[in-house]
Amino acid sequence: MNALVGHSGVILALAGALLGAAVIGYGLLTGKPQVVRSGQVYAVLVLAGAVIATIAMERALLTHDYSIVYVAENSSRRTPFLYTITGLWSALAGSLLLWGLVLAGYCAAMVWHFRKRAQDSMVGWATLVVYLVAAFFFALLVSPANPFRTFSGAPPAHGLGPNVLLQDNPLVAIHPPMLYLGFIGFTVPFAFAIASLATGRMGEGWQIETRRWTLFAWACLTIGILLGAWWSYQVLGWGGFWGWDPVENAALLPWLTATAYLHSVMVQERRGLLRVWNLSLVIATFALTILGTFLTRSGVIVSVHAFSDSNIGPLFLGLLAAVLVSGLGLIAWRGDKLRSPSGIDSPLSREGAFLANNLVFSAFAFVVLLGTLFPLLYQALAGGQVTVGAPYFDTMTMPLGLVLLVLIGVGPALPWRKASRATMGHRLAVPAWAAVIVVAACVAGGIRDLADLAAFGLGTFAAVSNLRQLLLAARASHARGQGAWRGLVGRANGGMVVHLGVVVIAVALASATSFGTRGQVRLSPGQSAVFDGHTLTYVGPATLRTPARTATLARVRVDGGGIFTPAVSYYGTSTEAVGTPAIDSSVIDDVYLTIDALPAHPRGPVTLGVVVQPLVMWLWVGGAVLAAGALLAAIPGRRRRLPTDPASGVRHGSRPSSDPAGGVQESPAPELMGAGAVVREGPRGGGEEP
Amino acid sequence: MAGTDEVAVAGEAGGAGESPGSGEPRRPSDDDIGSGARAGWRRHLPAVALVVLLLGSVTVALATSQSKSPSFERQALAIEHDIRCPSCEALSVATSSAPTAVTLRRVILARLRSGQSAREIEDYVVSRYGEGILLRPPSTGLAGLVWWLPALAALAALAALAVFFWRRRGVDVARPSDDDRELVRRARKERLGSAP
Repeated sequence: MNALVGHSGVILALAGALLGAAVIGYGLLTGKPQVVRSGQVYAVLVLAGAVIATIAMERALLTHDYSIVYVAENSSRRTPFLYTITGLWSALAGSLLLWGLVLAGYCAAMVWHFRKRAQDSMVGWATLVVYLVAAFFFALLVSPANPFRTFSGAPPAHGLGPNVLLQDNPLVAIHPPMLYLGFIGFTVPFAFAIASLATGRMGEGWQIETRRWTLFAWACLTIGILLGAWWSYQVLGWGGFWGWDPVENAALLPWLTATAYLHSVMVQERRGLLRVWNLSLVIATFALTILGTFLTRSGVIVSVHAFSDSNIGPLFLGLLAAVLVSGLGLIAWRGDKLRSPSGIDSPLSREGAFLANNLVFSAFAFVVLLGTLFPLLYQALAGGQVTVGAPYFDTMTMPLGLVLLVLIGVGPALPWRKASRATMGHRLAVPAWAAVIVVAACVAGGIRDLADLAAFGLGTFAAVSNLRQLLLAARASHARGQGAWRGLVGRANGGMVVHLGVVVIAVALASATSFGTRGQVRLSPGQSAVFDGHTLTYVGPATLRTPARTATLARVRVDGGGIFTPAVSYYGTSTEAVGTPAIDSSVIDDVYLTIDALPAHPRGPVTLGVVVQPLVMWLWVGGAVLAAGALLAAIPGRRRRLPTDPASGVRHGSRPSSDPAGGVQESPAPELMGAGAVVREGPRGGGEEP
Repeated sequence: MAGTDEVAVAGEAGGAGESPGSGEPRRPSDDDIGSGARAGWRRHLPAVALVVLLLGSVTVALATSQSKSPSFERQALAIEHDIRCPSCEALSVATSSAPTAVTLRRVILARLRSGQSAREIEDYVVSRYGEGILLRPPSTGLAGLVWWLPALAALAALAALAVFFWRRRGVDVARPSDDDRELVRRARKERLGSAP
């Protein structure tokens, strides 16, 4: 029953996507706006199908419908409620169903958002692209990765339950959906990028239309990655939060290109530059999400996070090839229309800083991509084994990270077009002094490693520079009588807050990795040991028995205060022992405890693994700041832009505020006008704030 | 939107354009400062003091760094980070608590104490577990490409940018013409109801 309903839902969604694509395609090719409009309705079918399939799967999980193979493999009667729900995304086929649901949600939201312009061919093309992507995923769900496959014989009486590592921490309920919201969200800007190429309307309209969509996807991906790091830290038991594992890299790659795009898009909006580059970044971001899906779901790489081996890998490679060929082909075809009307005047300018930012992010992405794929390439070309692990990535990305800190500090202080030395001296004097004083203090405090000194110094520089911008913005709002809090709102100011979060994360990362200590202590009950300044007292063992979990705990008192209980657990019917760490977290440092060897008998000694790392908590605090900054950046700030600003010339005869549709509707090709000013689609035309 | 929310008139941004969202008062241009009250070398005094303090700190840090003769434990840790734990997927010997990792840690320390170099120990581990045991790929041979390709790509990109800016050197930043000013005036009038 569940299987039948669910499978019908998937087929409904596939049919909706295919029909919608066919109708819109027909409308676009024959130039019938009414047909294009009618094609948008099919998004409802796609969403309905996805929702029906998801509900059917959740119902099957909750009612232990073991006639479905997926349910039997990923839930059991002992699995707690929460982990039964999350069973939806704890294996390959179910995770693709979640992917389909999120994509259907984005598709419907997009169609709803642009409903008043449904006849516009730009919106039509974008919807067509989303339909095609959705059709690909639902086709996967119909056959090669059908989550509703049933047993041909008698169904088993008991389920296996999800992977034991996925029953350990409630973050499993938030981290994957956040990640998916991020990955899949990039489908929207990608669709509009393709639409702008297909329609030949190469202005900035599509970017401004999709700005919040991109920002939302980026924020979700960022939070998803950080939550994943937090999950690893709390569950995997080695005290680390980032292992440069191929699957982690697969999530980082689109993040890097998307971050580059979020910056360089401002250059295009402001100056009309970097068009091909921005299109390439959007296409690359989407392609990298597909590549990541391929890597995690094809079994070509070995990773703790990877899904089981499956035969859908080649299909993802096919999609990847289609994305790259169509994207690059369209860019080549539109090449002449993409030429920028003017150039960058000076490397020492805001656009110069964005260019440097993009260079560094691209290099970062290249290093991560190469390091992730290199073992595969090497095996294919040279036939040998080579491992590219953390030492490679650390060595290669550390300098790039430091350069990014410099840019975070310098960039916001740079004016557009060209900076004078005096301006820069004035704006960067305080940050520079703060940085040098911190470096001197660190040296006085005993820090000798140059990379650490650079991280702390440049972190201070970047933080003070961005704080200065925020203070100035707050002061300016206050002077306007709007309340100083307005200085935190809007794209630029929210961006400064994001930068502060990044700096906090960078400093925490540097101190946790450089000043962490790890070791083992062997303690009998009642015994104490001092490890890296922390007193650990082994109180004694304990056992915990719940329907879902059987665990042996070690009760350890840390610094004479609270009791922490690292454990060795068995989940459900699984015979696999899982170490469950316990963490005494404080703003100064984390004491991370694991059981390395259980006591042989209750009075016997236990071997504890201990990791002490300073400032780890600030990784998560920085993440929260970053998320808050992204939210602030999404709120409309004070709009002072006039149509006469450099990149947005005035269209003769246009009615500035009567066109709620914004820029996409009209499509004057940008052209050179006087002093490098560009006539562009007038997105700022409508809805100006007072 | 607020990211680029300065009121700027076309072509005017050549000098001291303001930063985003800041209500910073307009600074005088460099010419004003250069010929102002603080003439000559004294103008550079703060910058010199800054550099001296920075270089001084770094020199102290380098001079007093104890990495000249690190302890066996320290050397062992450096090696352990570059060797994959044989029974794990990606963790290094340094971070894993798997029994094989614990054994390898002991072996590494013992071999260091017996006078072997890091290179010899790595060779020994490779002879036992194969090339794939090293987390840091070799810098020579075909596998060395993983190190050199990004460096080459970065150099190529930097060279391309340098050529780009060198070619543009001397290209005059376009000045607003009277037509532009008239356009701005008209647009502002249309939008604001009065010409500024």
